[in-house]
Amino acid sequence: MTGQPGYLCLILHAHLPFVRHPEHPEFLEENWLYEAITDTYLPLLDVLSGLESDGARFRLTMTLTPSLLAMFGDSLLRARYVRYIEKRIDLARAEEYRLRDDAAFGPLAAFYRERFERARDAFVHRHRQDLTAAFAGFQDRGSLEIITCAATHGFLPLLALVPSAVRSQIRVAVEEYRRAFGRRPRGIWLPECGYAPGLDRVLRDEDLRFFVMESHGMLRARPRPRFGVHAPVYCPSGVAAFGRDAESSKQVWSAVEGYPGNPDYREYYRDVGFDLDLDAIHLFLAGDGTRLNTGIKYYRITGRTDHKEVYVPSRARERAAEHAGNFLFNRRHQIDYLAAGMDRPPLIVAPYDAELFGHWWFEGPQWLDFLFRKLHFDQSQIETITPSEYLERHPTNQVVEPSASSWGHNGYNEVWLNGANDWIYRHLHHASRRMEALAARAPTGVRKRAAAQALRELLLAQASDWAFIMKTGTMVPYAIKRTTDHLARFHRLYDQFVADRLDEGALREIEERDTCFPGFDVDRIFHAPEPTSQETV
Amino acid sequence: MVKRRTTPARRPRASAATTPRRRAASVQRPDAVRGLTRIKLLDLAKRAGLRGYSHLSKAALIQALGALTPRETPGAAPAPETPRPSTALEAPPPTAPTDVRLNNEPALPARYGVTELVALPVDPVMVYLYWELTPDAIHTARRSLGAAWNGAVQALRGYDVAWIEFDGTNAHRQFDIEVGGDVGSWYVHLWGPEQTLLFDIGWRASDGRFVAAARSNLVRTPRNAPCETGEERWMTVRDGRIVPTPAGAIPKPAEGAARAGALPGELPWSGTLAELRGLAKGRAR
Repeated sequence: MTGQPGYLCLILHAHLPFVRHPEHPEFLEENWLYEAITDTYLPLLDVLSGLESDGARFRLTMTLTPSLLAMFGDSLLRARYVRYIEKRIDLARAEEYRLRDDAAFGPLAAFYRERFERARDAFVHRHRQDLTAAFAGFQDRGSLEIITCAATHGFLPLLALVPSAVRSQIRVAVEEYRRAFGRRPRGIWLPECGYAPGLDRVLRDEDLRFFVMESHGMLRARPRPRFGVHAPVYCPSGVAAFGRDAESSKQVWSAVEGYPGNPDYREYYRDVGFDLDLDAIHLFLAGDGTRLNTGIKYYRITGRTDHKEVYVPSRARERAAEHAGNFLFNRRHQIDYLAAGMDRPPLIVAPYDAELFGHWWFEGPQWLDFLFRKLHFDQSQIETITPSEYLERHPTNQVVEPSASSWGHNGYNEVWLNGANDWIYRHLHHASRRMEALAARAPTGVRKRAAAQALRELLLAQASDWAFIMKTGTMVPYAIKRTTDHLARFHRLYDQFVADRLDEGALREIEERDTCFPGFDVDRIFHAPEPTSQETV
Repeated sequence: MVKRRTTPARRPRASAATTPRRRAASVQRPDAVRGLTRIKLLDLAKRAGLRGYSHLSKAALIQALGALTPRETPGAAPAPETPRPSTALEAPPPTAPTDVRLNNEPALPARYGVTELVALPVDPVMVYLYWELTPDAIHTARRSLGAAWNGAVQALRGYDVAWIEFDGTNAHRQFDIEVGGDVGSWYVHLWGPEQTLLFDIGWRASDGRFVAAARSNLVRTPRNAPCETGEERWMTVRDGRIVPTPAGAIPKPAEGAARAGALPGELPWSGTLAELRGLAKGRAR
């Protein structure tokens, strides 16, 4: 089948909040990073390498958020990851031994042992513990476009009351990107796709040329865009907005109707950390004895009841291939349908949380691998493209004012502003104003360090993850503590700063604890002129 | 065979050590409270930050939630007040968490010593307000009202200021919501989407005078439906600069051009699993 040509822009948004607790030998929430490295980031790198070595041309766009990059670069977290994966290998070996005579589960234990060993070898030897560099390699070779995100994933529409809060989230992000990749970012993922009119001007001022938004923000633009979400639009500032395609999203997102809910896929919620006797997993319990996920899961989804059948990796792999074919088939029909009304190849923007692939949907990276291979080897109708490439080819687009929107439930701000988390905004806004006062004093020496650390604390408190966790109701005490602790540290520094009584020892202690974004200069963040290339716009 | 424990409590749907999934969880917030189940009303009450709502009957919940909706007050004295739970944030945040692994930092300031009123958009038809009033501001208002202070009620006054230069008297409409507390917050349910509003917080005396202590920022709520198609304008950007659009680069209106815009526009999609299920069911039918 050859049809009308079209573009597919796959975007994976990789983000985790900055979690680092040097004050404890082990810390439960640090596992978020270690699980994502094992399940998502390393398998994705593996898929990209395989495509490259087999000569399959592909274009993928990924956000690597500044807080994730900060954790990728942190030596403590790197060392702890090695310890984490070594422990998993030990557990898998013990399981392999325990199940040595079990024809059904024995091979699965070996499967996990091999998988964990591969993860350790890739992390330690192939990537030399530097995942940033590993992803950067694909960008340098042209197959991956890495975009940035607000420094700590702050939900910008609700921070915008104090404009410097938004500007510092963006400026720190751009600086961190430059530090990590040696070039400026072209585009940005707005945290939670949170857009409000006017944010585009802040992006323009930092020479960011595009962002991604939720479908309805684009479809409710004024005037209504002629091509819907199937071509980008320009905001009045000249910054391009790419709208999410609903059809391709739902096939992958939905755990029920979407691919990830298939009975042959691995069941996420059956982990040996919960299934085995305590004596078998006593080394894998939380400090208070709570059972935890270990990453070893022996069952497939099977059905909706508690009855689960054993996981068969080869069957799941077949299913992933089948689903990749189905996805491609649907996109081809979609493009044929859309092309009739367009003067250019229709664009399908399909953004997903990166951690869906591998962590939640275990077979997700395989699906992606099959999809890119089919796109390259089996057809010529659809071309994968990055937003930057699209804008180079199609620099003329409709000008509209997109509507305020997010990708949260109901599509606006309510997930991050409701009875469970609304109390944070008063404190965040006040701290942002106080931060302006600190920055205005053009500090030097220890005062400069204190102002920089105060900004770090403010940024960390602004992460949308905390408000989101408060809303969803799991791990709420941790989210509240992170918000209040960072704000309290901020206020402590502020009070000492204005009283001119800085406690250098205490400052050092905070600096050593909250280490993200070590390079920034407060003066530059708050007072830097706009980039020259934009002054004529 | 693998030894299994099947205690459901040990297999929560979201495990503690699980990477947080960032997609929003499901919260129902329909436009009208009447006709909802009590469970839904309880959820709404929680969302709206009501206190002490859990023991309320369905009727009382509807009444309490209805009190959040602004009333038109065209100069007339307000209707007698129904008892209403306070939403004031008397003390700092919610439950003090007891995560012993974390160092205990001092509590956040309960007050910042400023007089302020801040409005934030929640969605097309809801605005969140928070405020703080200093003793000085309260004293000034009290002096200004004189004897009329006795019996005066604290209120938020909202002004619909879309498309006008507001001079304090020319709002399209205004409405009062009685509130309490020198530090507090409120959710205001609006009559429709795409509003441009200002709010004052102050005191209304029984003689009708209103003394404001603080005015909010301007708050705009978004659209909740597509716009009419309008005149199209196109732009060309190269290397981050807006440049003249080359002749012939603007697409001509074509037969069926609305297709690309109309197809996704027909889906009431915001990306949630609950909606997906609804969509799938709708299609199956």
